[in-house]
Amino acid sequence: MTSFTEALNSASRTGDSPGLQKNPLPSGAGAGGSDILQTPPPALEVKDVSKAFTHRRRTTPVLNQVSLTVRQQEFVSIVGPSGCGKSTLFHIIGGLTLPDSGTVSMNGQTVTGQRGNISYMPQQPALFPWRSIEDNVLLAGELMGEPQAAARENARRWLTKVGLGGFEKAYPHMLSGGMQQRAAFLRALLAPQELMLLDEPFSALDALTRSDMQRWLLELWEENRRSVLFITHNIEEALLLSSRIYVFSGRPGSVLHSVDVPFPRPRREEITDTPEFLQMRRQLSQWMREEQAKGRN
Amino acid sequence: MKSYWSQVWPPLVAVVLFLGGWQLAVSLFHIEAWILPGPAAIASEAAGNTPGLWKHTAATLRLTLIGFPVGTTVGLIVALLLHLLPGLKRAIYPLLILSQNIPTIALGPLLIIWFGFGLLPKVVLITLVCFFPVAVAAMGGLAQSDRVMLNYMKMAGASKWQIFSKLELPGSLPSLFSGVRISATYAVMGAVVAEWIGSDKGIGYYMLLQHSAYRTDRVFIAIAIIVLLSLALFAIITLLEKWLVRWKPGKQT
Repeated sequence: MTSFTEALNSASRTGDSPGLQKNPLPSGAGAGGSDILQTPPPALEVKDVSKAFTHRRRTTPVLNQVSLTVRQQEFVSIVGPSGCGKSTLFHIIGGLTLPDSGTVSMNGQTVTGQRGNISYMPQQPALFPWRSIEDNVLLAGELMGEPQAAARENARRWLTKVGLGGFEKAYPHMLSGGMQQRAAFLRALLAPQELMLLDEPFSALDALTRSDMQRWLLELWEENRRSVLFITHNIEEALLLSSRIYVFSGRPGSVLHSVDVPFPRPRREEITDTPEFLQMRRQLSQWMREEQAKGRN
Repeated sequence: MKSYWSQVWPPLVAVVLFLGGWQLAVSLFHIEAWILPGPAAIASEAAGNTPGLWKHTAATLRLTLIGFPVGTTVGLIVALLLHLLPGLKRAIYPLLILSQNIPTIALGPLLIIWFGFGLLPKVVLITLVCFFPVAVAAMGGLAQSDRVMLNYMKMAGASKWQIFSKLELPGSLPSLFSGVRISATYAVMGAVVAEWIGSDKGIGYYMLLQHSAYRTDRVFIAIAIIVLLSLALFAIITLLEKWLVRWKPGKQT
């Protein structure tokens, strides 16, 4: 554990990344290779989920027999053309919407339609404007009735770690977009639920901030190893971060391909220049283009 | 501090110019005092009669300070009830709007028949005038909570009560305060009308008395006092809002 953290720190201190980690969290000291099949039940298993919406007597199928798995401490991404039902899938996993058929289970237990089992990061930061950054970060634990004193201590430490030290008492509107997104991510990370759902968290950011945040998330995740389901439009982002990628078809959304991303961890941004990476990117882009073209016809 | 002054001086200059023009016109065209007295005459009349005026002002102030909180509270309770019980809201809301079409002046005598000449009918009258802006503004604010934040709360497993207390209620504060500010000015008006209808003290009573004696200057004094009372209440509410809604981004940063 220590050896790879040290390697990470010495290798990628580029200076412009705001929140480099020095100490791994105790909770994050999981097994290194999440690509190996593990015995415990998967953190998330979606089985044959279908969903259609009816509006003015017209039924539109949105999801068609979607099955996917996030193993313990695995980073899994979903890429797909716009309108492939990704947000509906998140609502089903989060328990906001019931599927027409199929089940959602977490850690071996069926939780279809149950709320409060996941830690969620929406597309917009959605920080509560009347709460200070610190109180925002603490919100998820507060909702679950966790004791606040220790959590506050922990939140302060984390805020400093992710480069938000000194902003604990600031209100969200005083922060830049990237900083707000980091606070929103921290809110999801410090939530008591194990599984994180990240819904295109960087799509509203400019390109420079975005690549900054990708690097930041990669490092943070590799030290904490939470189970993550990540939605993105950005193929490069998915390849850089994930252990596995599900490529979705256009509406109605279904899983077209499941791709294992073989690059060893800890990963560095430089892998984006390797031939293997470029080849995978080409392959995924082609699939996406085909789907996008189908959607236009 | 500088920005504060830049906000204050334009209306101040406008008021001074207006008073100057008024004074000039009165003395230039030799307008009789019982039709339109000049500001200087009104001011000297007020200065010569401070103890009597203060007695009436205090009575009105007292009535306002009882009626306004009661009215605001009733408005808040109505808003919360109707927000938490959507079925009730559909049934009651049209009635609420209808109630605002009943003229206060017509209602006053009825209230006196029902509740006598004491404090109660006056407080009821002010409440009827005050609760509506608060109720409508609060209901609007409660219903307009941010979709993304609402989704976040649901995903995170928040209970109905948590969604209400941690999202809807704080989110409705800015809207609520715009209603309370309107109510504050209504409350002073309501108090004056209430005194008009049945009282032996207060600015409303004083106004009626001086009007029937053709003391136009004293009617103007009453108007000035009403305006000042409304402004003071308005300012207090604005300060309270600034303090409670301090998380809101300012206009200039």
